[in-house]
Amino acid sequence: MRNPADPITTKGITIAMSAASASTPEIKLKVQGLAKLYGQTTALDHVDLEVRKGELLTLLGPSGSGKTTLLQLICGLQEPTSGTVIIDGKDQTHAPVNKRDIGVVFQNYALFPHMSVAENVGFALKMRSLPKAEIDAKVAKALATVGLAHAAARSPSQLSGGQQQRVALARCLVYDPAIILMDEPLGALDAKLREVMQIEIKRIHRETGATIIFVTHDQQEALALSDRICLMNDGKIAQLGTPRQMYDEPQNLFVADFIGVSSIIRGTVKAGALEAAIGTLPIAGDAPPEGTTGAIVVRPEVITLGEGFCEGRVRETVYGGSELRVIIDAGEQEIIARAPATAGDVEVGSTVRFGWAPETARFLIDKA
Amino acid sequence: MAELSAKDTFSRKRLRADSLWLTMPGLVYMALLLILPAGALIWQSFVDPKSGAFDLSVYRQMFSAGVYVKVLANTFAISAQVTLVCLLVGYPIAVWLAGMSERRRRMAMWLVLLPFWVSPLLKNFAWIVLLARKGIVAQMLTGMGFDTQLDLLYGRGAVIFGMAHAMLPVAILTMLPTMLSIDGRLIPAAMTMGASRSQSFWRIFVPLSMPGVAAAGLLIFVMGLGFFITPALLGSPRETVIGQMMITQVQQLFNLRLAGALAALLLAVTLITIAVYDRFFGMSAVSGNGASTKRGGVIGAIGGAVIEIGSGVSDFIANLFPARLGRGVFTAFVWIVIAIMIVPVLAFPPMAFSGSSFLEFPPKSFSLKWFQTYLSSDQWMGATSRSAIVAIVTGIIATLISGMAAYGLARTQRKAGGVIFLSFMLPMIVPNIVIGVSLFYVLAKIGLIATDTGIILGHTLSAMPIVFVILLTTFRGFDWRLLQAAATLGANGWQQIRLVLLPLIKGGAIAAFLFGLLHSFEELTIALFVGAGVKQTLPKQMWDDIILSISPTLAAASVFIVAVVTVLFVIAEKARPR
Repeated sequence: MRNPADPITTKGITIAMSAASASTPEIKLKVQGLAKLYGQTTALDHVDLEVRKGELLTLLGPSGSGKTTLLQLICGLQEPTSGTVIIDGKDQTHAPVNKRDIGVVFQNYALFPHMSVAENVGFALKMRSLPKAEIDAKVAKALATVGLAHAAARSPSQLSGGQQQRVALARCLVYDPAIILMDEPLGALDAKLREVMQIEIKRIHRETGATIIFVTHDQQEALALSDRICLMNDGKIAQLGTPRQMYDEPQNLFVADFIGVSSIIRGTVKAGALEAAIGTLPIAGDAPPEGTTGAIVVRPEVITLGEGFCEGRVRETVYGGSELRVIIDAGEQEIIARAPATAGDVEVGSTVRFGWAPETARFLIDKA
Repeated sequence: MAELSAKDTFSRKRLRADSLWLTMPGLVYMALLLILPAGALIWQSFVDPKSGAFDLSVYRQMFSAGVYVKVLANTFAISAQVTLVCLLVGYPIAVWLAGMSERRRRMAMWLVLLPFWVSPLLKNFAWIVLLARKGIVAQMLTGMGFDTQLDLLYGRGAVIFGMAHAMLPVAILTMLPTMLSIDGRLIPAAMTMGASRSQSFWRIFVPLSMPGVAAAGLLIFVMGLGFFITPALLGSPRETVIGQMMITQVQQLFNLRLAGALAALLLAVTLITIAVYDRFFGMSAVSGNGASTKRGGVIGAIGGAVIEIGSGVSDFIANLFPARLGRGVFTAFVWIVIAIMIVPVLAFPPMAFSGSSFLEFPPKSFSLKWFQTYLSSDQWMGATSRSAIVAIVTGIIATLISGMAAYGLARTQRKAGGVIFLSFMLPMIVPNIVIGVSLFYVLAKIGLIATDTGIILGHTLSAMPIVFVILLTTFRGFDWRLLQAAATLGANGWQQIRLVLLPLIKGGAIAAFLFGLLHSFEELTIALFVGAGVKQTLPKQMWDDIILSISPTLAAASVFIVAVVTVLFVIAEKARPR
């Protein structure tokens, strides 16, 4: 795992050919060169993506990054301008929504208000003309999975937000679609309930082995839930990888900035180090060619306060319970560090030295 | 601090109590001019005028004479048929409107709103000309190879058509809000779960739109019961309805006891219809406070069967024909219906500028003589100026009374709110003809019959529901915290009203005033009774002329009315907040 770029995206063809072998995971969804134009604006710019069976992949990105467009193209609510969508090995690019084997948990759940919880969950089975007894059994099982067996006869409006969320999930689980797509499903819940539902979704995902694509703009949520994260920006994939890869080994400045908190210090490479406004900073590993412009990215937790190769003035301290965040002005450069809350107060306005072990920071080249 | 908050809750309580009092003038108005007169009219039908004793003779007379029973049966049958036609034809139009983007819908709504604001009298009058024996429709049908001696007018078919045509915009406008409130993601959601387009329409959209359909059905049926214009103008004596019979009893036979009995019957049927409706659908669907549909029971079973059959059939048809054909048929249907709704409105100018001495469409020559006749006739000009004055005064009074009440109701959280709302809707629930006869009965006793004041009092009453609803929507949409914000910034009570409240509700108030004015300007029924043939309003003058002798002067007057209606209605729609 030296190369954080996932090999799957670049070597999709070889994997598809050897799908039968036990070591390679089965591919549920394959998106190739998918693009969507709205008039002159590019919502999605030739994206390639593969989703493995049983994985929970999040589509993460700021609003307007193309993640919702990608989701809508996968489930067929929109037609792509070009490219293909392959679900379970079959080309479904132009298949109508109701003929694709997918389940969608909508942003505000889209539960049918005129049907009971059980009728909502059983709807897809009814559309597939299953016998009544089988529908009842499957609905009961799905509701039990999400812990709502007692609420089968209630109307959706009688349920709390969290419960409605569970019904929406059960409505997808019940017919075992190839992929479940979830469009910011926790957006309407309060912070506490979000956390509960995140754990709940993890459990259900593990127990059912469903393949889930989860859309969110919340990087914390993505880090907490995902097997893999697909970070999107400007209609393209900025990086695809496990949460740990995304955090520890960001491949470009956008990723480093979007995931987690970091200080980004720009400068030019000179003699194997980075010449920046706040001083000459060491670059770990093989130094890039002389004159390269880029930035060093440092996470707050690796910065040591009180000693090191830089100096700055404490502008603000933010108390956060378990930790104390310290914002330092080093000339024009803003540095975010972290001190244990038990370490005592850092005085605002005081001058402080700081630094980090070179191998804990990453150097990223500016995009051409 | 504690003291301050206690004072705060006290003042808020006082404010709430105060605000509900503002509905009093309106409620008193309703009591004095609607409940009391209707009660008195019905009461006297039970009392022998000579002995003063309780007496059911008029009721015995009513139910024993075959003619009355037949008229009653006619009235219900016509009303039910019209309701069915309005719902079946109006539903696709409402679906069409609901499926549009907000911007396009605003444009398309004009096609429904304009016919809505042109009175049934005018619309029916146009059909008399268009459907005449040698009229344009008969000529077109003959050209297509139908029987040359077509009798399109003066029959059950013409009455159903004319009434449904008059009420179709009401049906569409009542069904539309429920459809618009359906979450747009439900259909895609159903489709991701494997439902076809027609399955998701029948199983999701149709059931969720039912509260609106039921409300429209109720409204059309109740309106239809008291409706007399179309049967009188487009029907034969066989299509006589209760409304016409009441006019005859009052104006020709001076039999107010029988008129009272007919009013009692009409009112009873209306109330029973509403009670049945409430039992199955709940009143909330009409007042628009959340859609709590009751499930199960007979209606549920029938609805379920309709949905099963409908989705099955449309799936079957969808499999036989390409989807594009289905959409083409739908679009064609929509535009044909809209054309039929608009045509009578557009037919007036050509008829009015005709050089012929009788009404014809299309005209064969051009002249201004009928406008000259209209403008130089004292009778027409008198009616026109009376209507204008009555309408303006009505608009002002209705806006003031309703404005106070709407403000009071919007600021209360009390349970009584629902009852008060329904009280202001009463003039819409009680058939217009009952209001007209009741006012005739009571106003005659206090010498207000055949006076402009009497007409204004009656028009204010019947304009109240629409004026009230617009103002209530305006006040409900107002963010009252803005007044608190103004207060914290130092504005006193009057400054809050003048600088914050009034500018923000101005549009709604102007719209309410104009719609009240328009309502009065086109109102016929009350003017028919209260004016008593002495004080003629413009619609009453037209009514008399249509009944006695149809001349192109009528078309000239119609052009004038349609022009006034269009201009005022466009201003009001632009002013109305959304």
